[in-house]
Amino acid sequence: MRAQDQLEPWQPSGDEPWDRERAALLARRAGFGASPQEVEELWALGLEGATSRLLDYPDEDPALEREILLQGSPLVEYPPDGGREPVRVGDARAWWIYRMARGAHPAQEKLTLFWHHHFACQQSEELPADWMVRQNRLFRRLGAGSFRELLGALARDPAMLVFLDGRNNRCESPNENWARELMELFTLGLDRYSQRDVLEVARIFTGWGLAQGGEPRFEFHEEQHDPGPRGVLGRVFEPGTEEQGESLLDLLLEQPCCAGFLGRKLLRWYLEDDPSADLCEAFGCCLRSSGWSLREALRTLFLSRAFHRPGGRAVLYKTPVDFVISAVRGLEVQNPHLLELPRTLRVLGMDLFHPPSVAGWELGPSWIHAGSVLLRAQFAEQIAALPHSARALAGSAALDLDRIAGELGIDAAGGRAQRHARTRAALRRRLAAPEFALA
Amino acid sequence: MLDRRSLLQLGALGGAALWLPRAAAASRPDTRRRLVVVELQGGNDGLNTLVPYADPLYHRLRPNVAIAERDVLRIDELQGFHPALAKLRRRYDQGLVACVNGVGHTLSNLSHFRSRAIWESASESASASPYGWLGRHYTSSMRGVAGLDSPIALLALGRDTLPLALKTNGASWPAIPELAAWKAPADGLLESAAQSEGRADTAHVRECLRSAARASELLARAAGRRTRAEYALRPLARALKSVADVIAADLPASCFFVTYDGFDTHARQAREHATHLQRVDLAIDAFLEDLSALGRLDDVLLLTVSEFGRRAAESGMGADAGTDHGSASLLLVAGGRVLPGLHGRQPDLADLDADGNVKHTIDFRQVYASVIDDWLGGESAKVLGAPYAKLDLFRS
Repeated sequence: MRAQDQLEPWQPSGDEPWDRERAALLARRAGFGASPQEVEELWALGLEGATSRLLDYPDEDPALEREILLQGSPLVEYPPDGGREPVRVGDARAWWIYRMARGAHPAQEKLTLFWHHHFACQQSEELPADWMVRQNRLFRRLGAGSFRELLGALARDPAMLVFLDGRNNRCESPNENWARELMELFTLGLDRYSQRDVLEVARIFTGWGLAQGGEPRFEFHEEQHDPGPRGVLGRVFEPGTEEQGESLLDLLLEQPCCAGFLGRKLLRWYLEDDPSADLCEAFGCCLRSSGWSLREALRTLFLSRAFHRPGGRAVLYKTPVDFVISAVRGLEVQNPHLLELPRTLRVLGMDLFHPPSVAGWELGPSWIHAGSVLLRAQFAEQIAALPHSARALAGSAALDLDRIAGELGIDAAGGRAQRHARTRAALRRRLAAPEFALA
Repeated sequence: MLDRRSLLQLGALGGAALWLPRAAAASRPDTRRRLVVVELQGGNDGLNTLVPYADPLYHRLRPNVAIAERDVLRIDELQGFHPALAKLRRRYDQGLVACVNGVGHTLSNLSHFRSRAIWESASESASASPYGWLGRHYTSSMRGVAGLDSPIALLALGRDTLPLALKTNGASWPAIPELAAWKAPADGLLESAAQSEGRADTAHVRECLRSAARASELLARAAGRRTRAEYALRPLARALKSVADVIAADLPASCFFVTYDGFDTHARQAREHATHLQRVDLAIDAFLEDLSALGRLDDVLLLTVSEFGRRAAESGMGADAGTDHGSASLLLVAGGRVLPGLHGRQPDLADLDADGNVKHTIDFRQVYASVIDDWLGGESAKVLGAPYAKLDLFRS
């Protein structure tokens, strides 16, 4: 089948119906999986309805903002409304993990994580947590909209300006870091530009820096900008100021290789570990022709034949976040913030706000090696050992073992304690099973 | 026979020590020998690690970033170590550390990821091989060999992902972030592996579970070792301590890979490079101390690598100044059998390429060839795809 045809809407049939398995697949890929109850609800909506339920989320979620507070963060815009006491955490990673585990819009968090992976910045002494959180909120707010708009926002994002030294990029001594990674990692790919292009792009972005004092924010410093004419990728730019940078970003998206490059990154996140070059190209074109709208491109993907093909399951290795959060969501763990999930994610290879480099994480089979499988089995053991609670416990993380036993069909012979023991054993086996590593 | 002092001076004039006996190629792999590769990620600035302080061009190219002559830890009238490397300098004087300078390659690439892939896979072509140079050494000289082949023949410590250098056709090595915490759960990993026997899509996971089961049995023996050596509470030091733990327990792990990220000093190089070099200094020194107490110094070769050096001229101003991606740089080798002194030569700052980068005089694969053949008893031409002129880096 031609790549273009693979993106056409899939039609359910007698042999290949829209069933709960497919609803669960959609939940796993678009978000971080779902509890049996949630899968049931998605299935009942039909494919288009389920896709819409997952993708058509609002930019902001005031209820969630009131539920989880990051201490020390200056960005609380939703004062408490007299409802339940919020959960307070001090670690920005724990704040984000809570949103992933308990939020009503997992697809939004999954796309936010994609952007963190794509526009990877590392927290450090120079780049503190609350700058990373600001960037994280930017990804959440703009992530499903136009890629061009997101790119422009990143070029001005304070965390990015620090991480790739944009703030040190001045007329008298251009710094190449942002220019190179903008082309190599964010828009075009390796070998699609020359060293000369890197220098010229660096000069275009001279003066794109930070405002002095107050909240971290972008400021264009005209006196630091080299306004001369520039030549990049065969295009000539007239002398100018800040608009040179905007024109350059437009130019990057016009490059033929850009669509396929972004297409491949998205398909490796949402569809399969090794998508064909043709499909990447076709999906990239789909993204471009939807006005670079992530929401619409993803909608096309989730409705497509490529997504629902037989053999289209268990073709994507779960990231550590997928693995951990799908367990936590699927089991409806109470108080997940009381588990040491930031540390778990770190030892499994996905430390939030600390990607290994500006190239993000290495996806696919690399997540699974002899070291990480043991650590995943340790996590399975840890989750299965959580205390039982049928209601939320203030003091600890817990599972509703009665409900889970019912869902797993564990029989009641021998009394409650024995039933719980059998449920725990079944959970350990399920989470440590090789197929749980795949989506 | 020249004494150590004269040897060092001659080394400073450039060129390897030609008249010491070449280390006889090990006739077959020595099961006692250990290789520890320390990858300094980001691109370590060789020019500021072993500083050509007497070269006026060096100061002219780097008015802010250059190390002042008075601060350098002098080795001779031309060069000296960065001041943060005080302990390594002492080890250098003891003949346990040597420098290999001007190391790079023709596949010059200023991308971290491409360059690191080139160094880790020792790959000729633009599309890197999926396997690493150590992975290929395992395949050609260790697989199926008693005393060498084991579930932990190659080991990445202090890491949560397996580096390309260790990726091997048909084997899965562990990458272990914290050795002490890496214990198989009570349920057993083999039981998990058995769950989806027969499914092709889970073959990789199952294979890794089986490897992990065997590896964790072996590595349990490395637990709880006490040492007098003072390792800092920092990632590289901890990783090297774990390496020492495994060596001390006489486990069948031959090649170790540890990494330390932080050398991409585009800005604030003066402060940042000093910080990271100091951590490297302390960590390697503690490791050598430990090995000495264990009586294993002669069995171990430590090698630092980095994906490239830095641009000759600095960029930026004042304390914010730094350097962009470069090319040739410096490797350090350490261990009881190291041939002390300086190998290779300082890059010529008057002869920069079109990008303003120094030119290399040693291909990194020459270093690998020396290590593979003469240290590990392997077959470098097979591993690297071609023979490379070797260097005299250690004695037999």
